[in-house]
Amino acid sequence: MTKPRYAATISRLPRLAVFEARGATDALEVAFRKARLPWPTAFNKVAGSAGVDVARIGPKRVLIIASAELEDSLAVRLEKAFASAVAADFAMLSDSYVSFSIGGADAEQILRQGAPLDLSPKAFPPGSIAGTELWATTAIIARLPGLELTFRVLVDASYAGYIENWLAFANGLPSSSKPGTMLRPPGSLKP
Amino acid sequence: MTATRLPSGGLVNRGNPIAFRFDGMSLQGFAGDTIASALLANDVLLTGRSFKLHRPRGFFGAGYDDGIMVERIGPRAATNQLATVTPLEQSGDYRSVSTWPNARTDLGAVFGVFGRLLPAGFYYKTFMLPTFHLFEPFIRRAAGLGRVPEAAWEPVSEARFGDCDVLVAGGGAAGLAAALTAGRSGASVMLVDDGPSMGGRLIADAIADGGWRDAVLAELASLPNVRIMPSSTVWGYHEHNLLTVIERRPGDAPDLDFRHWKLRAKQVVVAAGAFERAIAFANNDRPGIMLASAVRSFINRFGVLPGQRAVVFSNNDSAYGTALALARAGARVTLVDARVQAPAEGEGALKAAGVELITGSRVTEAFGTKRIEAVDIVVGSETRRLPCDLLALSGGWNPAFHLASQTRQARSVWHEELHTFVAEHVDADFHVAGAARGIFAASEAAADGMRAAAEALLRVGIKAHLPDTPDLPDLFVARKVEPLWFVPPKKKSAKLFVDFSGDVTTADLGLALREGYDSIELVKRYTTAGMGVDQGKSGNVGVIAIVGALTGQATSQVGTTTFRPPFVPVEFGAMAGQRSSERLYPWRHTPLTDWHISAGAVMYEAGLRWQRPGYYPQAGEGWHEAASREARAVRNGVGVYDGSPLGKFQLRGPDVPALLNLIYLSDFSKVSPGRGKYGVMLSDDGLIMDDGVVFRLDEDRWLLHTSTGAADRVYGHLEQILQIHKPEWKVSVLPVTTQWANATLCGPKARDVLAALKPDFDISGSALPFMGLVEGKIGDIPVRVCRVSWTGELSFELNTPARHAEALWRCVMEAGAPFGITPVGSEANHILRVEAGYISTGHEVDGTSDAIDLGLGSLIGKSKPDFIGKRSMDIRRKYDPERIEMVGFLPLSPNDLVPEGAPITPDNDLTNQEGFVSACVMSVVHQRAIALGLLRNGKARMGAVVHARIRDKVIPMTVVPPVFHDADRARVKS
Repeated sequence: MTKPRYAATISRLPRLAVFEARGATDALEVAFRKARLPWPTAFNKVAGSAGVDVARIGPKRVLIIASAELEDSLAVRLEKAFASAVAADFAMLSDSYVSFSIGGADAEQILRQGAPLDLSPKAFPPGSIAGTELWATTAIIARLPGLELTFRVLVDASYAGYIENWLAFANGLPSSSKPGTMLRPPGSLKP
Repeated sequence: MTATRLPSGGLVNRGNPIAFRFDGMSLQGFAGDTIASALLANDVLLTGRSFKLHRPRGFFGAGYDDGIMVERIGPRAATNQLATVTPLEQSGDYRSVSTWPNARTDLGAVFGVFGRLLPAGFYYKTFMLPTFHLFEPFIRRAAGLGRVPEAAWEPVSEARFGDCDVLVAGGGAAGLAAALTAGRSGASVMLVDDGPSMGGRLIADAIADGGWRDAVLAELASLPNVRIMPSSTVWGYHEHNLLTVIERRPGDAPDLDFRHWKLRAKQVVVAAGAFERAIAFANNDRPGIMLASAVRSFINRFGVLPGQRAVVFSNNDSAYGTALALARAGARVTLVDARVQAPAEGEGALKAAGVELITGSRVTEAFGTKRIEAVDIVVGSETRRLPCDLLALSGGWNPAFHLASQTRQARSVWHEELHTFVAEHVDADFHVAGAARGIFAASEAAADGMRAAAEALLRVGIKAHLPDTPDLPDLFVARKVEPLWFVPPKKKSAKLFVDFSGDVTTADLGLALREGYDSIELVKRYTTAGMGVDQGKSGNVGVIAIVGALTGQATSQVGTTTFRPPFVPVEFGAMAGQRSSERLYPWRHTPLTDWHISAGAVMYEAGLRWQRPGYYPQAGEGWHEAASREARAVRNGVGVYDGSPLGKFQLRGPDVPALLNLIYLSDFSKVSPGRGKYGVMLSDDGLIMDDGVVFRLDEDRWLLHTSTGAADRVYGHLEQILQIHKPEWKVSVLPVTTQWANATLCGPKARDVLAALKPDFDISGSALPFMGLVEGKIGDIPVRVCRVSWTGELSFELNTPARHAEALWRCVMEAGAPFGITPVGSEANHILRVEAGYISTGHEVDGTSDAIDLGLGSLIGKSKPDFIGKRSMDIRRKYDPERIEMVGFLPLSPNDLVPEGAPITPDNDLTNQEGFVSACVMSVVHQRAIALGLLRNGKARMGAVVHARIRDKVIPMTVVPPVFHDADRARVKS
């Protein structure tokens, strides 16, 4: 196959600035206010402000995503905001995540091959974000606000090649990723 | 010629002829044919042999109620293709399965001669001497299905998830009406039908629907919230409305052979229709005997007339339509109605069509071998022989409530008018409609489909917009069935088949009952009735009824067997989708994978799906030479390895010390910022879960390391404590494993290499001692350096954000070149850690050892009152004081490498194990084999000789202390 099976465009994005904060809700809310970051009113909804997206993706888990240029300034703001936090902390995880953009009319058809989460516009409208399973790994999938047909997928960097391979195959294309060899030790390896 | 293609009619494309072969014969069909319809059109009635007795068989049904399979030799070789549902392919080359040389002259027919020796369950009591396994291959080969081709077809399949508000299973009148109701109301709908065209009996029975079907399909196609899935089958119901669906040759993706769905439906409407059932009589399996509904389907769907001289045998009204269809197609027809009184409108219609009607009569026996030639019927006391080339049967109908049965919620209830089981008390989110609940007339079924959809919509809070009920003339349907399960034969030896797929006869049922298998579930398993290819779709109720008749019970009292997925045969490849080769397992890679591969590393898994370099072979080296060279470099100079996969967690909060003291043996209260401590973690049962070093980054923050393979397990352990046992503790845990990459310098020249990198911090032993941590920069690269060792040498772990990993690694290789730096893989690491006597998860930490067993008792904090696992460990040691303890071994022959896991048995005893070898390597320090292991009472047995037992060999070994290098750790702490 050299022709895509679906009307979807898949691309690996340049590194984003990603921070994750964890802790008690009240402590997190205070820290975010100090950092002048929006506090999402609901779980799994993106709150955006000045190029920074914030999402609560778990009871004690908040993601902050922005373009790479904002990484340093965000790190400073968060360090200050969390300095006096007792029951909360943050970490920069920009290197931990690799992001993909899946856009087009059939973008959902690609992702549903690996994700059990209902990604239809009705259940997962623009502005939604959630941690879910993606081809037996964990991933964070978001439908970007204002871009109904585009999903952003964040996967653990160690799985990036594997997911990239899957995304290409899911669209009927050979993968361009080089995920390394998959050899197991030969039977005679161990004495 | 008897069976033939009609000059017109059917849904086949007569403008697109297809040439194909079957059992060596060159034949022709049309696009739109199944293999079965094309064979019938060519008057090929004998298409296979029966499973056990190799009796001649032809098509009995026209869909999934049939069991004739063929092997596709080409194109795309595949076996066990169900002929009645598999589309005919251009240049297809097919052969019958389990026949030799072909279905017409099968030598396996000799089994029929010995049929009396092969009753139900014969394999439980015959062929037992000397052993059943001697005969088993021959029996399997004789009875088996198709051969697996040498180069099997690899279908292109996509497995995916899906969701919808309403799933409608079945695209007949009820299903179409349900889908239209739900679709018009705005629900997201998936309409699934196994036929290539939606319509069910509307097509198969050529019901004059006045264009209703086309109009409904056009409207459904125009609704964006409706997905129409022809050639698809809902094959399984799982918990909470999770359904598995196979979609064949999906129209929106022509390159796919299959799309397999795991589908979560808020509501399910099952409108899957019903299966017609047979009546058992002598030789009722002859080619040319088929279900009356199948005859209608072949005529109306495919334009094929299965016979010219037809007898129709029925106990209900539905077969009257078959008689009329046959007559209209030009056949000479006699209808034998078991009932004394025929329906008045039927009688008139038959008369007008020139069909002979004989009431109050039964077929007693069929004649002919390779195709039916005549039947005997009894009328009163008189027996008449009717010549025929086709016998169409209708013994009533079995509603397809398989999916309802799979829910384990529904109960099958006996229907007194239809003499069959119907589903009742189904789950509130599961609805059965139309023929699947015994409503056969098309208009009534459509109305019932709308009712079911309205109920489903109500459950999801959507207001139903009900369409008008269509007028679908459907005169001859079963409303009342006169029960007739079998016709007693004249000869005792006659065979009356109740399950064609498994060659099960009424005699087999009687035998099972006589041998004490009196439950219907046991009868099923003993005889295999209902366990064949068709899964008893047309035979199951008959089996239950005959068991009832033989045991004097009412059919409703016999009980039912359980329907399980899959409802139809499903290819494993379809379920797997594209999960193969590099997409089978989610392998993980460090940012340095490309470098390792370019350096020639052999990569393989090293825990938790991480792919790591095993070794870097140079020209002419095998793994052993490469690993030894790498290990020697570390002992004598310097090496570097990629330690990125080690689990890393950032902890913060005032209660972190309390948490660490709870999970580790050691006391972490006095660890100061910039220093670390080694800890061993026990599980609740007092056995070792993991080990690792925890550093205190500053007053508040800590960095907890785990072994690679235990990272997820430890994370879960921490969260369980903090969420469930100690929710009041103020601790946040952030997994940061892949944020940081790691290049670990190790060896006596490690500090020289680090100095050559010109770090902006002091790396002297006093400023950065063992278990010390410092943060700074190497050039522009930020690093966090930890003094930890797993090799028994001076080591510096250089951690950096993953984006800098490759740059840092290249700097290290460049700075280390003058010192002969060598990249080191897992195999060399293993040699080094065994020499140093360090424990490894999965080797010495095998899930049975505690810390004291492994010589780590000194880690237990003396002032600590408690830690997780303490009580269990104390109790176990109290009641089992003679422990299996970690020791070293020196094989008496220095070149004897002992396989890991080899049992140690006392004095060559074969069975009494007293320990095992956990690791054995060829030491680069001692130039001989050394080993670690666990040995009963090991610490007290230093100097003793023990025996490792491997296949065909016993290796004597001397017990020694488990540290072979740098026992005082002077090099590590230098």
